[in-house]
Order: sequence, then structure tokens, then C-alpha cells
Amino acid sequence: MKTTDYFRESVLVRRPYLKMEWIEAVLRNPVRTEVQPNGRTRYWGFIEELGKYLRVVVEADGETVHNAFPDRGFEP
Amino acid sequence: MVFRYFAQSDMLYIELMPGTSIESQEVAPGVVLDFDAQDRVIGIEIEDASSVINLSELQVLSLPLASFIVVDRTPYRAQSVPSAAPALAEERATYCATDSGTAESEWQQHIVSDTEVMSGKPVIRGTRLTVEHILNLLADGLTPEEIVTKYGGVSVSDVRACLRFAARSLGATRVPA
Repeated sequence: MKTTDYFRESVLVRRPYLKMEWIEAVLRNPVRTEVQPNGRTRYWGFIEELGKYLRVVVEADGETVHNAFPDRGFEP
Repeated sequence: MVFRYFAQSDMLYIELMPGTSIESQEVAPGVVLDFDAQDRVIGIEIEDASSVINLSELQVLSLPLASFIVVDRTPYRAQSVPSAAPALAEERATYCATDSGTAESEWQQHIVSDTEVMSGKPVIRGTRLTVEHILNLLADGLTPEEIVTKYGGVSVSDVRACLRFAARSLGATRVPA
């Protein structure tokens, strides 16, 4: 899985509990997707182990993971 | 508190305090707050930072700073972001004394900060002599020439760079009431 420097050096440092399998699961089967104005795409999916919705942001290339966080504001 | 900019991704992260982000919330387009297990806001993430913020200017006012460290500065480039103040020249952003004959490149040859040396305090390059110490020597009445004599490897230009650095650093400081 491709990731940005921001994901590796900031996101994972702040959220060391994130599992790549969660991210892959969200990308495989999102409950919602949105394309941002800057071309990045947001995906949301519920992670049972976490008990929360996880937002995953992917670069405009469609494959490079840029961000991921448990999204407090997401309403399915 | 740490401001870190990722130029390639155009992401700015402001770490208010160290910790693990348990949950996050987008409070404005592209602006996400990080919460820790105690529901404290520990950081702020700003996406497309260069298009919404003038990243070339940072003013620090009235903070009781004990340490101020700048590392890995991204080269300045003009931005189209509206700003309350005109975009600063790169020289001003780095405390360069363009009005005194101390060019930025020259200034940076004298004063450096390294987290491995004197806890990151500004020091004269190649020494462990802090700017603070040099200022105190001057305040004690020593001349630059006497300081040079006292400390081998230090030049008069080094001492003057300390003064210029201090003057620029205090540019926005106010005396507490």
C-alpha cells in the first residue's frame, strides 16, 4: 500500500493504534465516499474492533493513502 | 507546541501537546481537531495549508518561551493567499538584518540552533557559546574585542551577529505590565 510522507511521519505517529487492515477494509467496502475539491477522496467505514467510523483519505491517484482517523463527526 | 509543515502534501500540523489522537473531528473544511483519551484537543491539522494560510509569516507574541527552534525550513516562495500584512520577504522571516549590512546568508553563518547543543538554544556556530551568554558579557561591560580575546574561535562578527539576532528576536516583544 502506498502512503504519503504525511501519513507515515505524522498520522501514524499520532495514531499508532491504526491497523493497515482497517484501512484496507474501509477502502474495499466504504459506507460512503466523497471527492474533495483538491482531488483527494474520502472513504468511511465502520471498524468493529475500534467501535468507530474510520475516515480514510486517498490521494488523487486513487491508491496512495494520505490520512486516516476515527471520525467523530461522521453520521452514516 | 510544534508546527510542522509537509510541503509535498501541503499539510500543516500544529501539535499543541504530545499524545495519542484517539478521535478527530473536522470543524471546518480541511481543518481537523485531534482529541486524546481525556477529550482534550491535542492538535490541529490543516489541509491545503498554503492556500489558506500565509506560511511565510509567523509571529510569536508574549509567550513565555524557554526554547524556540526552527528546523528544516521550506524555501520561501510567494503565495497568493490574502494576508493582513504584506507577504514578508524571506530575509525578514529569518530575522535577517537587511538594514544593517548583515545579509541573511552572512547572519546564518554565525548563529545556529541544534537540539544536540545547549538544548537547542541559539549559539555561535561551532561553539557552545549561547547568544544569551554573549549578551550577558556585553551587559557586564565587555567589549566585542574582549570577548574575542576571552574565547578563542569567536570573532567580532560573531558577537555583532548575536546582537542583531537578539534585536530581531525582540522586535515584537512587549514589556509585561
